[in-house]
Amino acid sequence: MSRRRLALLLLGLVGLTGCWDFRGLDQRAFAIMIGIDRLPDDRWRVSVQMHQVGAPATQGGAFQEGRTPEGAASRVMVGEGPTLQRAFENARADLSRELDLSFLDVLVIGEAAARDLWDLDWIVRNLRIPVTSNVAVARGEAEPVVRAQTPGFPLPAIYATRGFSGAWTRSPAAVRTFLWTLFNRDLFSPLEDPYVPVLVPDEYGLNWHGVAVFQGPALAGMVGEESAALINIVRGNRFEYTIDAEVPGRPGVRAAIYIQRGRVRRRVVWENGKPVLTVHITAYGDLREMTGLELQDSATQAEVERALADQLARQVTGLIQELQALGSDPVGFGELARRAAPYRSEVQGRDAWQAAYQGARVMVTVTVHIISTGYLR
Amino acid sequence: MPGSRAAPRPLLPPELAESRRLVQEAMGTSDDIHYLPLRLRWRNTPALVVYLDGLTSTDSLHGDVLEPLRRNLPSREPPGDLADLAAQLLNTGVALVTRDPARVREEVCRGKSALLVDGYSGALILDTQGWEERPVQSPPSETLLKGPRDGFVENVTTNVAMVRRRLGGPGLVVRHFRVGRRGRTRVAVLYIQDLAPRRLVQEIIGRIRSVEYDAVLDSFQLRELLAGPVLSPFPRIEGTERPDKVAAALLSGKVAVIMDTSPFALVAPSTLIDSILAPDDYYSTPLLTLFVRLVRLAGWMVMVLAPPLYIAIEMYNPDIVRTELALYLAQERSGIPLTAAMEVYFLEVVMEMIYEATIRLPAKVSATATVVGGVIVGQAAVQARFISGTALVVAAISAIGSFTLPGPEIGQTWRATKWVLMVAASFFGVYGLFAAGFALVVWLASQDSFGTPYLAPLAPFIFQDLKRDSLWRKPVGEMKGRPRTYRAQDPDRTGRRQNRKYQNQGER
Repeated sequence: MSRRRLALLLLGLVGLTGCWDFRGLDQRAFAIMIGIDRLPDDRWRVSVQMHQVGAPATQGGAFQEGRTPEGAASRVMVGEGPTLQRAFENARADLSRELDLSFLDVLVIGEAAARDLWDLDWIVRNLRIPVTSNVAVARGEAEPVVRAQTPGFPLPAIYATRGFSGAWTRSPAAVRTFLWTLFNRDLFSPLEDPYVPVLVPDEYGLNWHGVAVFQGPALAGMVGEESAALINIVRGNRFEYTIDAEVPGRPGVRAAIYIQRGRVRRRVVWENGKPVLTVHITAYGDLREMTGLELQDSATQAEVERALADQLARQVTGLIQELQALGSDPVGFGELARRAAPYRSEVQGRDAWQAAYQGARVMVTVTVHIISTGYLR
Repeated sequence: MPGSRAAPRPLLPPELAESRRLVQEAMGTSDDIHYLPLRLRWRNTPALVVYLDGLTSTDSLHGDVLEPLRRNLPSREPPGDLADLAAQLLNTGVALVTRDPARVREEVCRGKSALLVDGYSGALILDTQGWEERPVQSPPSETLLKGPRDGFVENVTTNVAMVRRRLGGPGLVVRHFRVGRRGRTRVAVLYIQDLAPRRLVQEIIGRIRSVEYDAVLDSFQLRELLAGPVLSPFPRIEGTERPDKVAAALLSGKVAVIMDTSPFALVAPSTLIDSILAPDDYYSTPLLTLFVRLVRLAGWMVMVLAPPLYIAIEMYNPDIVRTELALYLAQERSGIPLTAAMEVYFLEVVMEMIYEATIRLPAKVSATATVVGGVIVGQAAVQARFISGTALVVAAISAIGSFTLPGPEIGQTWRATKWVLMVAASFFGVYGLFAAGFALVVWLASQDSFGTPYLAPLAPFIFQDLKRDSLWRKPVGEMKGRPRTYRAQDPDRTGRRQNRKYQNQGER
């Protein structure tokens, strides 16, 4: 066979790629949200939310007028089985189209399943699932979260995805955590722990409710919205936040400040062989509200500033102590400790750091400056 | 027979009958050749005027030639030769006096008339050309909002004059040649003596001289003959109808070729970037030029990439778009009998048919064809769920993108090239699209136009040229240097360097 014929033959063969496994866009069912539950009898349950294709395109777009006659733009398929693989297969048993996981935007892990993430490790090894999927933990079971609707928006999964980017929610719990971050431990440091948002099906439909903190690959516990906001503050370098506090010695006087420029410095210092978790916060803000007191002189201003600073210091201290009690270090004190004293035995591994972390003293100093007032009388 | 010499061609003798026979023999048999016998009042001398119907101005012939010939000579002395006769009697200019019947044929075929007088050997070739010509109009293929409105016509002399009006200073050289064994069409090569690289001028003149073809009917035919047997759809010699564009090209150190009977001038060398720059870019402010060029770049990208990308996303890589868009596309695709690739192929073929129809049909009918083809058929196809609305939108914006390119030729080139990318995307998705795109870039980088790399100044990277005039154009006053891409002899537009040189020479 001449070289030219051989080249043409190979080109023809290459051109046939996809003839046996090609699936057009309309032959695929896109799973957008998946919930994984561990049932009490040690079985697995998988809930898959997908877009309901079927409304004629002439009626409008895919999201608003494109709902099916039943009214739902999404469809949830549930399967159970002794293994995750079997549960997945059972979930897609009734599906005529091919289940496509490439648009998996949200992976919701039930509380029981999140107790030990090693069993789910295969998910990140499945190349068909994007590693940039958002991860959330369900308070309780994941299936009700996957089934929860979002009023005003037909596809809950899209709503959740945009929420994680901060576009459609102001909840401090809507922290974007990618699949690879949670499973591959692709964190800044091996001594740091991940934290992911908690999703709940409440009376308004799908909603965020605090964050779940992990100790390594296992769920350590869940904290509320306030604590979620504070974790974000303490982990970052700059922040905006609102503090309100009673002014000590002045009954009935309460002030609220909106911090426009907050700056955070974290350190771990070693004191008598033990780590001290140090956080220093400097905040500049607008006094938005104060009842029962006029801000007439600098002494009064200093008094109010001190009250607000003490309040924030108490909140942050409480948060860190709560995290210490749970045994989770999402702030990353472990890495700071390792940097400060890399050869100490307390930072030579997760277990050693956990022991030192839980017994560490917390020192939080906060300075608040009122730079403007716009308070309501 | 080897060693033998060809017999010398007979020359026109003094006898009019013999001269007429020789001229008739040279001219051949044709009904539009007129032999007008007449007698000069001076000594009743027989004479003959030979001219071609349609190419000779009858007004000029009668007023400047025949009428004076019927008058007496002002002097009593007989004219010494034909030139002397013409000087005494005729009002028209004399091109030449020749004794070669073949030369007589050649000149008469160009519209001149030949005067043969008994007793004088040879023929007097008279400037009596005159034929119906299209007036100078705005160039239909390169219309502009700003800038001069004159475009080339089918007369090489007029066209050269239009360029010379813009370059009145010293240095412009016009060299005339003839191409085609039977056509003998006039070709003018224009360049600026102290700007155009000598090697480039020699190369182009050499290629024009070496053209071996019976007749060249248009400058684009000449372009093929000059560029050689290449299958590349990308023009490496640019064709333009605009004299201002030719003048600008000459000032960059390029060489222009203008051919009689064609309203298109050829400019060489030409690079890819040249084909996307419009003349009115230089008649607008730099900031507006930047804006327009960005729009043009976006149009080009949409034209070339939108259809193959649509195919790739629909068929293989839906995961590269955001979820909402993928779901929308899936919704749109449901129930469509054609694959995404076939949809786009179908629409692109229809678009090409509409292009062809609008070019061929009269203006009034072509508008109807566009409406029927583009709107009614497209809308009906979408409503019948034969094709998806998204595919129609993609094909339409791709077509609009091709209109943003300044010349129709380069738009056509890219529309043809787009098919390569579409086929690659149909088989291999985004990988195929990028592989084909990469191969295209590599191939383009290997091309050249008369020694100038086709992708210059991007490859090779000439920062000075990109800084001077690419997306961003410097203000005219600050564009003091010429593009380095074309290796002009004098790189300075202001002339300061040359003045310094002359001053130094004077001091020495």
